[in-house]
Amino acid sequence: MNPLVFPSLLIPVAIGSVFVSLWLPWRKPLSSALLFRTSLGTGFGFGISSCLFVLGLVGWGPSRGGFILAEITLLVVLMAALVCSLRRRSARIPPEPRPGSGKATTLQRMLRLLFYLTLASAGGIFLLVSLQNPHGGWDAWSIWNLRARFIYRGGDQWREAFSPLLSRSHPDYPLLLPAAVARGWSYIGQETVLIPAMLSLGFALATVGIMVSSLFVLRTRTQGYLAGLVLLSTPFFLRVAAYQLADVPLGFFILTTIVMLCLYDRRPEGPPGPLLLAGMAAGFAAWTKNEGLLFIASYLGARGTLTLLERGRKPVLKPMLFFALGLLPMAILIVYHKTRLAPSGGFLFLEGFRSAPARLRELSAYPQILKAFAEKMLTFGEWRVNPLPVLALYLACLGIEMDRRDRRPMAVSILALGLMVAGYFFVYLLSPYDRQWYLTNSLNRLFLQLWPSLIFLFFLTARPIEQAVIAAGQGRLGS
Amino acid sequence: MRSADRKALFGPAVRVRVGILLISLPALLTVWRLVEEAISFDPRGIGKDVVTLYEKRFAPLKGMLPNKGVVGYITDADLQSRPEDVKAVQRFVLTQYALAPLIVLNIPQSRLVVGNFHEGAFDPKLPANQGFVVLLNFGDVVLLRNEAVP
Repeated sequence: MNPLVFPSLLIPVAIGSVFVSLWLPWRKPLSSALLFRTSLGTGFGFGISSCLFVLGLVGWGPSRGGFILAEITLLVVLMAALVCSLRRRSARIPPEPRPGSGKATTLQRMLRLLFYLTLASAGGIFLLVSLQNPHGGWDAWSIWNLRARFIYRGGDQWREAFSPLLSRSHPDYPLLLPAAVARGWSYIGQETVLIPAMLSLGFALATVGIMVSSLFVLRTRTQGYLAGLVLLSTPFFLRVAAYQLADVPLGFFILTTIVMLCLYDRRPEGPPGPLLLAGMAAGFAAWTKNEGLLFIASYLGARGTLTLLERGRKPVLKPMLFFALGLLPMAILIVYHKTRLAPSGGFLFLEGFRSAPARLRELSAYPQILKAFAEKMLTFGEWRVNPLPVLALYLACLGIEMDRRDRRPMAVSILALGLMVAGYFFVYLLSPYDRQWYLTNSLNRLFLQLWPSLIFLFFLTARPIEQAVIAAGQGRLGS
Repeated sequence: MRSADRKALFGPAVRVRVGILLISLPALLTVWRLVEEAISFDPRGIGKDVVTLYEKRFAPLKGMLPNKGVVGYITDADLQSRPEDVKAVQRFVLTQYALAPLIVLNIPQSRLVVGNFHEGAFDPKLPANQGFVVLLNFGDVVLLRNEAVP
């Protein structure tokens, strides 16, 4: 194995972790803060270095040495900025008092043990599936890794990756994964299946990490472990991750956007860092898959609707401004990719737009899509035990208890995810592909993109076990 | 059942335990699935996946082809008229994946044409009748020159 494989992946993680640390206040306990930052940093780091890689290609062409130097320089600059900012911050923001946040109870220890056991098992399954499919699933080798090969192997001719002759492989699809893979290969000077596999593993772990650690911060430790267990108990999540598909990274960025908005709404008078990161995460979502554009539109639609309903009772300008600032660099890059590198996708879009009225009039399509939605919604995770009734029963047992400050981001997030599902419906309605084939082969992955966010919102709503125990007047359960 | 008994049976502590069990049991299934996967895992299958096999299949041809440019594609499955044939589409896309950054066009109207055939399906006499010259023949993978294209 090439010894540069791990450094090539650790440098973006370090860049991302330091970058997000610049924008987030440090809170105790530090272990949660570190897990939170590293998980965020993994996704942000891969996103940032994929952007840098594309910018480098456009600006100077492929240059291995120049690129490594640029990344290391960026890391050093960011670290220096972090040291300065930590020195300037006179006082750390104290931790939020949370029930059960003292010494771990037996229950917490048992849940932690089960979580790590399940995480290790999920890692084992990932490894076995990856060994059997080292190049990933169909979409991985026919779209993402194929484009990465064109960029890496093409050398000076890397723009051939976006040739309209390759229309079957969708040259207009976003570049986060292909660029991150090609960047890894350029870095180590060799093409290996380890890079896309490790990237995929990184995003899967980061998704679990951000979910667990954000609930540690926003709710309680048990709530975080339970949410992590639900995600790790989704076989389809593990399979899609091992198949190196873009749905897991996209799900990571959607979840991160929602988490950041929740963090901001906990302290709206505080620094705008979480808003900026939310905007960046939304931008990275669109840099990962076209559905990310739908997510941005859904989020803005949801936020706009809520603003109208609140009739100006809450400040709008500051949140939208910082969200837009975070989004802007990615928006510019996406527009450049769609208009300059791969303009052929626009013709396909216009073609689809022209046939839209006829497709909208196709009445038989509506029940067909609704039926598929109803079926896949219950089965997309490939579970042996469907978690939806399980989660409903869990809610019946534990009850609902939300932090007042979470209500607003919760309402925006649920509305945004609902608008996304509605958007998916219209994508199927207007798509030029064979509808049944398209529904069968993609709908489960679309639901998977939203699944981590739904689990997070569920455990943000459900009453934490610690509070249920206190409410019952029994002190610590199992302590 | 008396009200007090009912309260004890479905009391908060019981509900908390039931709640934890509800989430923990599916997680244990993940652990069990790993055991199942590990038992059924055959290490001899490593490197025998369809993509890796295609990479090996096209490796000898790859060295003979230009690094960049466009080549045509010919196969025994009629991909042009049957685009819904998933297997045929897969074979074409795998060929493209193996030969990247060379662009493979799904038509034979190109000076150089890559032939991708099922084992034993390639008839060496047939290309000459269709204006092709066989440049390389690895059995199921061939490289042809289209005499009709300058």
